[in-house]
Amino acid sequence: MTLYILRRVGITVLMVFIVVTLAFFLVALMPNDVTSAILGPDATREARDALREEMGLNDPALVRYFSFIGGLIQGDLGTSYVSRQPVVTQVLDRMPVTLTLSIGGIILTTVLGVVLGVIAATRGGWVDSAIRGSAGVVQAIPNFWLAVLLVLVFAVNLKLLPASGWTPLTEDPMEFFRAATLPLLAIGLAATAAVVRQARVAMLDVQARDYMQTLRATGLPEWRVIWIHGLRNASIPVLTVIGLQFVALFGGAVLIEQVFALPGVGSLVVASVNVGDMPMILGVVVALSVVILLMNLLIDILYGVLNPKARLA
Amino acid sequence: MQSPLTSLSDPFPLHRTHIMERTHMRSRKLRITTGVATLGIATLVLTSCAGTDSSSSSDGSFEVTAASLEGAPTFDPVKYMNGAAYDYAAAAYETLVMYDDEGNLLPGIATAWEYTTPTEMTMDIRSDVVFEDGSGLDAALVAANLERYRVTPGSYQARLNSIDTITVVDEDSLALTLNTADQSLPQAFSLSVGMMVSQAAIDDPDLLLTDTYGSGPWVLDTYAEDSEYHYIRNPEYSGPLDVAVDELNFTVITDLTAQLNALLAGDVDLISAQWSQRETAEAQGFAALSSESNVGGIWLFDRAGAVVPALADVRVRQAINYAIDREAVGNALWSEYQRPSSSVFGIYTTAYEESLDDYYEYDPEKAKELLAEAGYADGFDLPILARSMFGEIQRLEAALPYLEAIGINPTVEDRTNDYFDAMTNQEYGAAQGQQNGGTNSYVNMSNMLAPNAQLNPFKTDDPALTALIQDAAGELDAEAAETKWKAVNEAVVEAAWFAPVAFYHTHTAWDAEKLDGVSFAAGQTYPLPFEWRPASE
Repeated sequence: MTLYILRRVGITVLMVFIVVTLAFFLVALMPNDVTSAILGPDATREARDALREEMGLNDPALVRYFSFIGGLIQGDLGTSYVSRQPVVTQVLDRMPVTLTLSIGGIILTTVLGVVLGVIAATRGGWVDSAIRGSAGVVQAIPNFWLAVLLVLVFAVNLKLLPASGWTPLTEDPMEFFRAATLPLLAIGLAATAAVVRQARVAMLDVQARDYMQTLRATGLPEWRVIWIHGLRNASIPVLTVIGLQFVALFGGAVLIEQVFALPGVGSLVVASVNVGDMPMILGVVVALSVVILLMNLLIDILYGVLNPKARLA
Repeated sequence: MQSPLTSLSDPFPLHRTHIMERTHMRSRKLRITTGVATLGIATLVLTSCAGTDSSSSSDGSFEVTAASLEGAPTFDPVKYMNGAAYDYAAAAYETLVMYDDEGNLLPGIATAWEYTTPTEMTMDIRSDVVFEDGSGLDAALVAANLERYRVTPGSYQARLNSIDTITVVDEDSLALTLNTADQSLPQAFSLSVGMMVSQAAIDDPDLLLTDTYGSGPWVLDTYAEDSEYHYIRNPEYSGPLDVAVDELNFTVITDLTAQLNALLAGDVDLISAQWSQRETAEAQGFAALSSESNVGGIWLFDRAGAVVPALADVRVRQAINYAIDREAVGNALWSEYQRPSSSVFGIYTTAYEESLDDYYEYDPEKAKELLAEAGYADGFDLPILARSMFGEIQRLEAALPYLEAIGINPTVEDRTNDYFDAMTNQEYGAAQGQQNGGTNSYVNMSNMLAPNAQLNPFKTDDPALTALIQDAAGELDAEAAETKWKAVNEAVVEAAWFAPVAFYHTHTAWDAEKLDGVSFAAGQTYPLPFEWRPASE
């Protein structure tokens, strides 16, 4: 198991390096007019050229790349062109919001998806049809559209929850949950459908196995047969889907942050792309890459725990 | 009873089925009960935690929360320009000069100013200014501030290019010597380059990255970057403003639809809006207001024909102006909230002349005649530099069919990420653009007409026009200057250097049951908070 984990960690580090390199050169090739964003539209050509020189934007891309990698190894992601603040600080300040959305969303997705999928598989009949039908409808709805709908219903019309804003959990737990409810629903519901379907199929497959009948025959309560033994075996393919959904949730968080005006890295990277703030763009790419790849690593490890055969792969 | 081992083909033996049915019924009841209880409790909790009135806090102070399209990248005034973020600086810093809703200049920190000659200006300042760090202001500190703005890259740095030297006459007065006649300095001093920071910030400008060092009506209290900014009333403020807001909050909401939702939900008291959102807010019982701000259109840069030979002929440029149905395009883009115009000088400038608005009335037949006279009866290709920000490409595309109708073949070249570079590199003879209508004729001229102007990339220098400009810029008598600037405007329109479509409005909407005193200062695209007060007053 240790060797398995070490192998996965090594692959993760390599993939972070590859992603960061690709991102750097893609951004470097992007025509950049950040000096206009800093100096305003009335700035003279001379002023913009001088600022570009001062910021090192005229240096060759390769020179800037090695400088960036050197800083990255030391944990320095550079300084924002626009705010002149360390990128690391700004990314770390905003990452908790995006992580809350993504992790909260995946927890909601997992719990809801697994529970509904198992119920659909074990109950059958109209319950199964209703769950599958609902999952299909929700899956067809884009999460940003769902977000807008939730805002209109619960915030604008019913005034039960806020339409925007974010309160850290440590500052005011009640306000945190009020602010987080609609974004989490918006981001989690759409992904739930995929998990429901996978959990249902997996549980149907497990239900048909002989060992399930054996377990029942030994006198175990039905709930233990289904929710402990059956679910453990059904969870392996479900875990894969959850891992994929986490990546999708991260991407969805960018849109959700725009709809709900949440101060996460998604809205940070959108603002940075609009003005060409290259260090900030790369900083967010690095941060998100690390998080996503760590999540995949965690899933790989969980997979190895649940399925010993996987450790030999 | 069957042995469990012999019942593998029947997973649910009869006795087990009976027990399970009873268990199932009890579980079902429990589930229903639990579900109803949970729903009830949740409803109670949520409704008991409804948001508080965002315009007043529990201690009776008047608190206002406004939505902003962007956060504050810094608290250094040098980085600020007219726009959504301007209020972050305007709240905390006093300017040398102030202005009202009509653009009339008023004393701020400067109590008086005078041009003794076209290139010499004197200024007297208040002696009772106290910064939030407790330090005071004198003429030497004003000079230090202006010197910093002259050399620090910033949004309005170019506005101070005409200053040659700054002399401290005494503790309360200073003299500016200019390298060219420039009547726009007082207006410049009403903007961010007129915002005074304390000596501590002059000594270490990096302090301004994370905090304010001003003497304005409010002081920055706390903030979460790019999220929320909280200002409190400055007890040391000694300026002429009588502000009513005790706590001023800005919530960053970068999407206009999200801002509208936040207003409707009661999360914020005031928002920016486009005209469609403004009307939605009004339909929901909120107040709204708009102000003419920017002019949009096609800028015809290549007046010498270097890139697009056809544009060298004034008849071709005039034909483009005659070809566009400004009323139709303006209505389509901005509904009733626009003013078609053939001129690029806004209503708040002395150069504005109403009769020039319809100088080029829509006349496609005349446009074709002019093209034919100029030798372009079959039209010509016209690549137009564009950028996909603020809906600008969509606006441009609304006008293109009119050019096609007279035989011109326009193409949109989206260079969003290097729009200004492409412009200054003279890669295109024409560009889609928008420009603030302005409050000062000299400023508009500097931005659009001067040979070194940003929006004159081909450095067109018409001797006759230059003479008119110099005459107007050097005129000290206000009435005479106004006449001369109108002459400049007329000359530019006749030369068809630009093909503007319309001056359009920026909008704001707010909760009038909580907030009063909302207005747009001349040329501003976001309401300043100075006059906001409780609706009950």
